[in-house]
Amino acid sequence: MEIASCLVITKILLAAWSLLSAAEWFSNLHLFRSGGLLSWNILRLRPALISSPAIRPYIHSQTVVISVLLCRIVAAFALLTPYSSPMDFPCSVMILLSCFYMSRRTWLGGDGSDQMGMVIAVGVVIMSAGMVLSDNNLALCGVLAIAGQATLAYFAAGAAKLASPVWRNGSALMGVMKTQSYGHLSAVYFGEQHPRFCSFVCWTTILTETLFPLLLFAPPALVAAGLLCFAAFHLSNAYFMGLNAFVWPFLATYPSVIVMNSLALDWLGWA
Amino acid sequence: MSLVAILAYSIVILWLVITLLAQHRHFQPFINAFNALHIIPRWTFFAPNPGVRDYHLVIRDRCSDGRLASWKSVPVYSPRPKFGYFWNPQKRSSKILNDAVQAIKLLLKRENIGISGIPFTVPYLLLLHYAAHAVPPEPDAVEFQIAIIESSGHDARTLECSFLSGFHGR
Repeated sequence: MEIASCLVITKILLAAWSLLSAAEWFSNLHLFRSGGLLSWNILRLRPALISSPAIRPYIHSQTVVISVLLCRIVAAFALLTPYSSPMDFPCSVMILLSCFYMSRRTWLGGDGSDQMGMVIAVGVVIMSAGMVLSDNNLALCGVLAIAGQATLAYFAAGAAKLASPVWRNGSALMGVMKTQSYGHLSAVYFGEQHPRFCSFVCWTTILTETLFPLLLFAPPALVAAGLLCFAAFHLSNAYFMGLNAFVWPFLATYPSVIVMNSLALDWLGWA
Repeated sequence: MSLVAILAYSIVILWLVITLLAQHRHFQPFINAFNALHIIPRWTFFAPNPGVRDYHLVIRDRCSDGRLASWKSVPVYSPRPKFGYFWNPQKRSSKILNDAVQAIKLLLKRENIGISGIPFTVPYLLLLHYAAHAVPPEPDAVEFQIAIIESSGHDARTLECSFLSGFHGR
């Protein structure tokens, strides 16, 4: 895969995540009101912010939150072009700054999709800067950032599960599925009738996530099949656990993984 | 290779190394100290201890005659929408409550905070402030307290009170 194609696919998926996350924050604006769960009246009491400039309440007001989310939406729409353009750089910078702002403003409630969305924004900033400066090495650095974080994400998630007794004995899946926050009724009924299937899913998750780094050195056909399986994994998480926002940023890492795989195979002489 | 590219590679490689270290709890306190923008991600999703409990916030008033009103549920999040696999904004409220409760549990374990220091912490104040605004007071209420209830299981659901606050003025 060419770096230009990698950038186009990645930025379109980044735009999709940005639009979804901004729209979901818009439907949660009540959280930012003075009596809401993210009230600045309380969050400003964080130790790091106590001796803060007088302007800070204005920077973190609901109006500024709305403005930042609108900027994210505008930037996301501008990224939805099927080719790389000089506008990609300022738009991805804007999305990245909006990620920093929301992370700082909300403090609580962020999840892995926000983290990976920020990683993708960093990668697209570097890749698009490389395109603007006609610096192929710089563009590749953006690919390394995304592929590296994706590899770490899957590996760390798998290794942490491997170290966990409840994941190894298969009870973690049913435990999570029984919650209202991340569970699913039909999965609970199915799991209660098929306890061995729960162990199978837990161990499949542990092994595939832990072995993800090997995909960087696998034959291209195996990489494509592996990434399809991981895409199906994220779609099933969206369906059963409500983790809808994880799908877009994690899929956005796959073009970079494919590019890194082809570079690794070239470097090793296995291509 | 250009100077800009060398600089970018140095920063990205450093970022990846710090991210790898950040996955181990031994390094987390040090990394958290300069991670205000969450630029160093934590990737250990649902592990090693997956969340197998739901958290609920409840509130009750103490009236001027000393009578305690019944506990009321504080509305935090609504059920997942039908098309939650595509559109699920409700997860934010649930995650905020989960994060606040986890933070309170961690702070309770810290020797320099403990139960006596909890009322001065931000996660506690956040839940207290929200509960006081989300549930209207009884007509003659003078004080209120909150509690965190944990539920687990599905058909045979078990409830447990994991935290009970002191009384605060309405």
